[in-house]
Amino acid sequence: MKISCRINCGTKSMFKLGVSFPEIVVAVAVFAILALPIYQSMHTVQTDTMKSINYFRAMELANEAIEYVRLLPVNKDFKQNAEGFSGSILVEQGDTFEAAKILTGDNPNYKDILESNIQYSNQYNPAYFYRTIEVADLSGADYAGLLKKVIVTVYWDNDVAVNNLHDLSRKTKKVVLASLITDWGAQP
Amino acid sequence: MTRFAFRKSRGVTLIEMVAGTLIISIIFYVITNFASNMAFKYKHGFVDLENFRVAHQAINQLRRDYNMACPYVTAGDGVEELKKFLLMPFAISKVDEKFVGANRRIRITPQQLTFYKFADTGFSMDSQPLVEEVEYTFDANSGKLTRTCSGNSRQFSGFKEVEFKSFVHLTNPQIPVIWAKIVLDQDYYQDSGKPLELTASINSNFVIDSINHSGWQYKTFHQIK
Repeated sequence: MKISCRINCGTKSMFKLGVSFPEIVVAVAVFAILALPIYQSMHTVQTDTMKSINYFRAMELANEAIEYVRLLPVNKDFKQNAEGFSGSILVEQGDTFEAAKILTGDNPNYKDILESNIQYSNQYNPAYFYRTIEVADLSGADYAGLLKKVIVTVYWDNDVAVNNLHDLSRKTKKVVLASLITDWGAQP
Repeated sequence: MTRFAFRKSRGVTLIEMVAGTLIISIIFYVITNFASNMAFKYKHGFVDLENFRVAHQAINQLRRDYNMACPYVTAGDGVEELKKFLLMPFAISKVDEKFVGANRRIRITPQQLTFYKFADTGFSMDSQPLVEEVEYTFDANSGKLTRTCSGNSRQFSGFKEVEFKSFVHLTNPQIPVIWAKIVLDQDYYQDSGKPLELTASINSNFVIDSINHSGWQYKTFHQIK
């Protein structure tokens, strides 16, 4: 009733005029202008999420290195053995790189339980994680001789192609964790 | 009214119809493509990050608990049971198997990990420290990892797969280490089709020290909290 009244009365109506091509173009342009910042912000969120995930993974790799150092008996070879955990979690395979395997050993007491083939996920590959482990003696306090300081640094890259796994000079990100290991054998 | 409408209306030509359909198709394509891209970016932005944060939280909790893993041997069980634990702290287990007798070794299955740990009671002079049972169980149907300790349970959700394994590292094969893998219930990148993974190796300080320092002859008994 209302529509027919409008038409009868000769007033302008959308039903009568339709939408012209320039109007569509302007509408699409306005939509694109409004949508672009939203799209860009979502893209940034996605990129930042990947960076955060790499950070979480780097933290886990640092914690893992400290766990491995704790396995070692604190003896004269401790420093050398601990620093031996340093290295990339990728290995060179011809011209490409693949995820490294954890160096598992064997213990006949647990032959039915132990897993011998444990490999890092390939999802870690694009970040080119690299760990360094340093062991330092403490000095100063009376108890300093009982403790060793273990410093783990994990380096990685976000979205950068890497040719040399061991070149740390071009790594863009790093996280450092430190822990104290007790040298019970050193107590008086 | 009818006469007026008919006079002004001239119909739609084929060219106009084709052009109109084309324009609508293009607009529809742009909008659906935009919406689909936004949904993808949202999923791989906020949702992935939240799930990954929960996975990280679960690993941290497991690490905190398992670092304090210890035997539960009472004075009634005797020192021989303690020696058995120190000699071999790990045991194969079936899902939902209960501890039998004094054999309370750390039990591991691919989807369940059960052990005793020193209870969080602060500093205590008690000669028999309090311990409590901790259980981590993954239910693949609900995608939830449940931690149960002292009657309290906490759930970590959003996982497609959780797996526990044990291994010994080449540098010290005497000490078994827990390896945990968490796979998120979200697709990875569009072109890879793999869900996000987080892995961790975890140790018990007690197990390490008791094996690396066997000369200590640990003879402390425990009581349940």
